[in-house]
Amino acid sequence: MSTSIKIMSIFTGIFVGLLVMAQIKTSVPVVSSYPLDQLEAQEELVKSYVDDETQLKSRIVSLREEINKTLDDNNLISQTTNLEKLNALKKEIGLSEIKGEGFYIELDDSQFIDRASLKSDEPGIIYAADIRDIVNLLRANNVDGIAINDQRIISTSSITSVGNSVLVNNSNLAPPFTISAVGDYESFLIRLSDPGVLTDLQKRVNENGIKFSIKKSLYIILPIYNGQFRLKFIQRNDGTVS
Amino acid sequence: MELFHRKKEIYSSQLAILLITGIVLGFLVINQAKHFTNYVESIGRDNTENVFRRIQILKTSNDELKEEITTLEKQLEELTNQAQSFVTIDNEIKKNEIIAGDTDVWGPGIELVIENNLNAVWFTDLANELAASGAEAISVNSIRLTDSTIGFDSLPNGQIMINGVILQAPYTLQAIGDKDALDQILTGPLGILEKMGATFQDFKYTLSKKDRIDMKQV
Repeated sequence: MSTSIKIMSIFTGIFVGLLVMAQIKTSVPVVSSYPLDQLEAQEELVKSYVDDETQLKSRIVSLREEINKTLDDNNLISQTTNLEKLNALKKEIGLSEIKGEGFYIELDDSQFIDRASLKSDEPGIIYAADIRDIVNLLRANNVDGIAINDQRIISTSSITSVGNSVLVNNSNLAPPFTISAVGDYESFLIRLSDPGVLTDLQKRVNENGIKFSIKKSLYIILPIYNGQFRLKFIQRNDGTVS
Repeated sequence: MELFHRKKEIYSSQLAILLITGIVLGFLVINQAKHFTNYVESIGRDNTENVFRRIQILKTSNDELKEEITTLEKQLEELTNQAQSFVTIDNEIKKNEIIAGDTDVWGPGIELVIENNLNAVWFTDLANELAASGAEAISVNSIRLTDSTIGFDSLPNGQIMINGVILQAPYTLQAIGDKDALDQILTGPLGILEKMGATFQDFKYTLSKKDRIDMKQV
């Protein structure tokens, strides 16, 4: 059998194999079977839950501020040491504002992109994973505190997504995303200059039009954490209940 | 003539063998390409769940926010009563010490042991997944993740450091919380363990539900 025929046969076989495998791996887009009015009802339900969430979080912030004021106003001379300890703990866990020198990182989708109409694998939009990576980098740089838009980040904060919606502390955030940090700007810039960090985000900034900027600020205020603390299962080891 | 037919048979069988070899090679190429997906890419790290999941998250979160409001309203009421306020402050300190990691804690939860070497991205996503799943406290190789310790640092030699400690495999992640819910979310479809299984060629882990997990103060 001639060599050329053999080579042609091999390539034909490889090509057929690639085609068959690619066909198997390709997922067929699912066309929704829901009637339009049911989809609208679901969106209305989401909207009403989101409106409730906004009101609840606002109430939490005002209650925490009122509690802080009451603690300050009360004439608790004998409790001064405990008050100082309480205030220090509150600062540690995000229950008081953090103010100081820091910087902002602005992230935005590529221009002309309509996030709502896109598939979830579009490279020109900001993902929750991008924000998580930046927050991790900030934490590794020992910043004093972090916020994303109006959401204060604490150790149990989650940054996730549902479809193309980004959720921070279960609150839906829309781009542009402003990550505020109180901490050392110059040392963070040194970290960012490492080509091994945020490699995928850097690539998408260069190739897909993702917007990324960082700006120093002499005065930043990070808001109080406005979410809940889950303490249903955890207990102190000294026998007292949480 | 017979010789000609025999030659033709041999030729046909050689051709068939070559074609089959080519098809198999094609399968292998595609499969291999899928196996070494670069997990550093952000696309694919997040869930693509739908509006039902969004509604479920919102409902649960709103219920928890309402409970928090009830707790805070009670706390405010107690603080206006001078005698009660001393007790309230003490209770608040104890609660905040738990959150801050300033005291030893315990509770039911899960323990996940991973044998493979992981980069910072995996640790970030694992901790996030546990937090999103309702974990009330999380530790990695016995280091409690708090506001002062959290932050996975990548060293030039590829090692991961947290709170000044270099992490070595196998990695033990523990989380205190609803152990059934945590287990279900970690092992569920599109969960992080499924993604890790798809990314690593030989992904080894054990996940166990525990009635008691202890975490030391930071």
